[in-house]
Amino acid sequence: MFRSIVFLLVLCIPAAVAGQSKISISGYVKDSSNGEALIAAYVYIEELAQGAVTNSYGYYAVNVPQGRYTLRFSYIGYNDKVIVKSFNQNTTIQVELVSVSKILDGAEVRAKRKSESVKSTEMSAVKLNMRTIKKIPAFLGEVDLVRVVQMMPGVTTVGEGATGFNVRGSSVDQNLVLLDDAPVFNSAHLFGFFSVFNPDAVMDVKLIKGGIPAVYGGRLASILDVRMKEGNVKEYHGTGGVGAIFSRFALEGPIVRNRGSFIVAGRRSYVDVLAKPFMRKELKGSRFYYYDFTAKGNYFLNKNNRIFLSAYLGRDVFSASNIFGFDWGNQTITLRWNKVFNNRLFSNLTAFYSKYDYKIDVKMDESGFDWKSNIINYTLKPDFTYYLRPELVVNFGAQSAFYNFVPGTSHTNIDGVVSSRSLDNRYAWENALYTDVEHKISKNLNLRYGLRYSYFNYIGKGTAYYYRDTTANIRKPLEKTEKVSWFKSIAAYGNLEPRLAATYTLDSFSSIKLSYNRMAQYLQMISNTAASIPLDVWTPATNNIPGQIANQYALGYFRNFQEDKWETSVEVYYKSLHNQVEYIDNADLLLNEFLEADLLIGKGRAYGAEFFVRKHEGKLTGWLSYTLARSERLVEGINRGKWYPARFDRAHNLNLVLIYEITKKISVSGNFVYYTGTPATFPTSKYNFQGYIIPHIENDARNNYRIPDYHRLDLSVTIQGKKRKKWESNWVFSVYNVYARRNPFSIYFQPNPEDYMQTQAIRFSVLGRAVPAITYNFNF
Amino acid sequence: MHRIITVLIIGFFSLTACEDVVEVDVNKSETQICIDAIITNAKEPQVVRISQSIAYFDNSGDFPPYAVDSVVMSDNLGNKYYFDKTQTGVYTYLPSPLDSLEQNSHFILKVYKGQAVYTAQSTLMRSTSIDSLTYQYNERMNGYIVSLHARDAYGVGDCYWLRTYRNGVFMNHPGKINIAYDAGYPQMFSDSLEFVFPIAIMQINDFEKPYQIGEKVKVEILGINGDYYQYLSMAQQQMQNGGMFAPPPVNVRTNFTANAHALTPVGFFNVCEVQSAEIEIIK
Repeated sequence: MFRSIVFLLVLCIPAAVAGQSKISISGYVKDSSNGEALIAAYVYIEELAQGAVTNSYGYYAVNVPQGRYTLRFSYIGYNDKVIVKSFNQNTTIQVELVSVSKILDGAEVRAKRKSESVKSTEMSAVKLNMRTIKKIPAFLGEVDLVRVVQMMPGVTTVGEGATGFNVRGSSVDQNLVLLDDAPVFNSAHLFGFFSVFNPDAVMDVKLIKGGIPAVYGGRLASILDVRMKEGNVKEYHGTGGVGAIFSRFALEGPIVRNRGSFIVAGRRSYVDVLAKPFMRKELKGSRFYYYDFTAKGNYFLNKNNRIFLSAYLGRDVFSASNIFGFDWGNQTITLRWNKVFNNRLFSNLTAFYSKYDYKIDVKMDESGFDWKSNIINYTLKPDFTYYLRPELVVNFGAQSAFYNFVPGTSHTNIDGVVSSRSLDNRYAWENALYTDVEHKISKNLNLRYGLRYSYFNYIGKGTAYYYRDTTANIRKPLEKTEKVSWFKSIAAYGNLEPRLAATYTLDSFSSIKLSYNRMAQYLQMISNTAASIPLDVWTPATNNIPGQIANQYALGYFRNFQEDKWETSVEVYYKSLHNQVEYIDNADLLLNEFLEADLLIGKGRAYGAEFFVRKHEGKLTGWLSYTLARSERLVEGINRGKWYPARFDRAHNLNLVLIYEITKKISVSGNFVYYTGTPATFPTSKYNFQGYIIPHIENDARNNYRIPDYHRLDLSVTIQGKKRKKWESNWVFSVYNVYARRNPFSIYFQPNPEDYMQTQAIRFSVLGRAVPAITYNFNF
Repeated sequence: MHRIITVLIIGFFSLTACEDVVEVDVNKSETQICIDAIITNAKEPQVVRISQSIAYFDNSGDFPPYAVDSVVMSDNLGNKYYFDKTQTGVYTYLPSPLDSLEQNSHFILKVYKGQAVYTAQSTLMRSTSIDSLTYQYNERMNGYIVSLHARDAYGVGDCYWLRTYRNGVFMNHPGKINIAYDAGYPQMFSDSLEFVFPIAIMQINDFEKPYQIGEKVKVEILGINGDYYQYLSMAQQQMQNGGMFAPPPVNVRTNFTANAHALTPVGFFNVCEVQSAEIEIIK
């Protein structure tokens, strides 16, 4: 089996691998001011009309016949650099590009043509740099990249303050959120108001919604690849801010000048301190705050070897007067080793550890209850890039991940009688091999194709549960349990995941792209609530929960206008989802040994069209995105076995972001969003049973109505402070939800508290007013 | 557990969050027949009530009674119990049919209307004895707090429904549905312990309106089966389903079935052993 898989993967490598007498030009492209790698910078050889793109570490390589060439290095927001030289042997060229904003005042500078969005094979992808993200009006003045991602086409959220985001009609747990390659299992602070990423420590963000390269796997819907800054290799710098709800500080600098650097960044919120005077009496003494700490270091051992170490630790703490305590958070550590074997072969070995855990503690007099749960992942991931020819780059590699799921251990203390209860840990081992080829077939046709083979093994030690089939939506009866010893397989799933992306450039400013990807996912977050909560437990695929599969087809037209000042695109997609997890009515999802008896397996489909217009340059920049979409599920036992809209389905999705630079010192920005209301289940009638008025839904319908549409306007003004020699600062004044719309998060139905025989509908808005904020940011 | 967290979160969001009563248009829907048949061994008339559902936003309070032809219960010993019509939709059996029956006896209830037959089954489940009810004055709340002293019967898996009557009126606050799995809740191991604080105190008191001198408090403990426990737990969830972390609303699941001439009704049939205690608050 294994051998045939390897064979298949090798088949993906084009036959013309035979070496030719060519020389290679390779090196790193960096930012001149701080030595940070520039990811996806473009290297273009004018004589050959061929080019290359730097990888995630800023490395590039091209193989060309000997000769004299003009090399043009370019990157958005930076000035091009041109090198003309004769190349007779393998050559390393390290390039530093100068940021446009660093050019002296008065000089007329305009970034050169950046037709990357048209020419690259990447589609359904969004790249954001922190400079743009920082200019967008932010909730409580705190810049947040996940909230900016939510303003991109094809991305939605179930509502204000909900954790995570939904990509092209998929659920929150189907996004692979990577922080320096390590998966982050819960990307939110304070439920969903902020993400775990400290904006001062992030260099680059990329969201891939479709045409996902074979390098990535493990989730169905998208990859949110967040790369941390490497730190300034030239001099020490600090950045920070003092805001309405939290403060942050980051320090970066060289470890050894031009050889290694570090960055450390921390944040802490103090919303509880500020909120104290407004708290209700019974909530006095409550604490809720969060903090996170991000650190990264890198060091060039020599010209060809470089190591990186990055770490993240974050925690949310939530407690009420010593009665109740609840805290949760992520920890990740990533160790990477870049090695340039020769001018053609670049490798990166990544080892990471990622953990998400939470704890709950309830105390009342002598009695109490506590409960802990976590998920831990250890992964080893070798990746190689072979620069075969300028038009042919082969990426290949493997991934091996070991998972430890701790669904829950709890202690109950009733008047001094303590009983403890632990659900068995669950273990899984997930392996993958991939080949991914970037192939320029002709001047007009670019392909990226690949194959990933993933193999998931749900293993002991533990207990395997076997259930009998029953009517759908009834708890499945237990047939037997079986003790399983260490490493013995309980269930295994293997999937071949073909990936294809093709770009056909019609002319220098327009192209047609299409892509197909098949994705497999072997773990899921067990969550049956409108917004996922920090208590939700991750569970592996088991003998009762098959691995999830998604197939996605996308087609797009990309066109740039006015020398790439304007970037536009239209994409349509269709996605089919298999083995989607749903829940029986009244499912018991927490601390339930027999959880799998309460799960239902169904399928889904999602389709839509996305329109995107973005302006990169000039005094006015920003984007407009509009998505027309649909996401539905079909599960036996729900909605009487008929298709129903998913909880996060929104037909219309409009986002407008505008940033206007009035003067060099003052800029204003605004964004407006408009979303169709999410589906909801409304009762249609009620009956009287034992004096209780119980709601009833006709035909057992699911999501039979929609809550009102969501729209919101945010505004902000950024004023640069006086520039001092080493000190730069700015003030950001922002108002979130300017016209104070009470956007409903949900509408729910309850008896009237004055008279339980009467019932009423209640609109629940997480934010019911305009939220102003002031933030002071500085760097030195 | 979800609820505690939700309460705290809503407390936090109360700084900015808001809730408004709104008008919602829902379509007129088909009428459901509700059969309310909770039978106990108490020495008092046992009643089966049959009524119709009304539109969710109809707040007239009138649930039209539904007249049927007959209501008959039978047990595994071959006894038949005929419920007599006392009003339209109200069918009564006197005296209690369950006086002399052993635990775990099996019952079938049939309701006939024309060609339609509604059927449900139940097993008699044991209750547990009540040691006492006590009360204590709470200065802060300016009233009396009543405590129940009772112990879960030996053996894992007993389910109870505790009903509290204040001056003879059943406390029908949906938040006060008081169910117990052994002495606590399903996630705990609480076999044969004293009922835990939420069950023994929280759910039988109204902290916003504590008991005053002269008031009478009666607590009944009904032994119920697991399905009825689920029913009540679901009913409670569905009546109070809301906020950010609400699971999707679903219908509470009945144990009635209907033959081909009728639609499945709503409601429940359960036969329970009951124990009760009453106390009057005096100076």
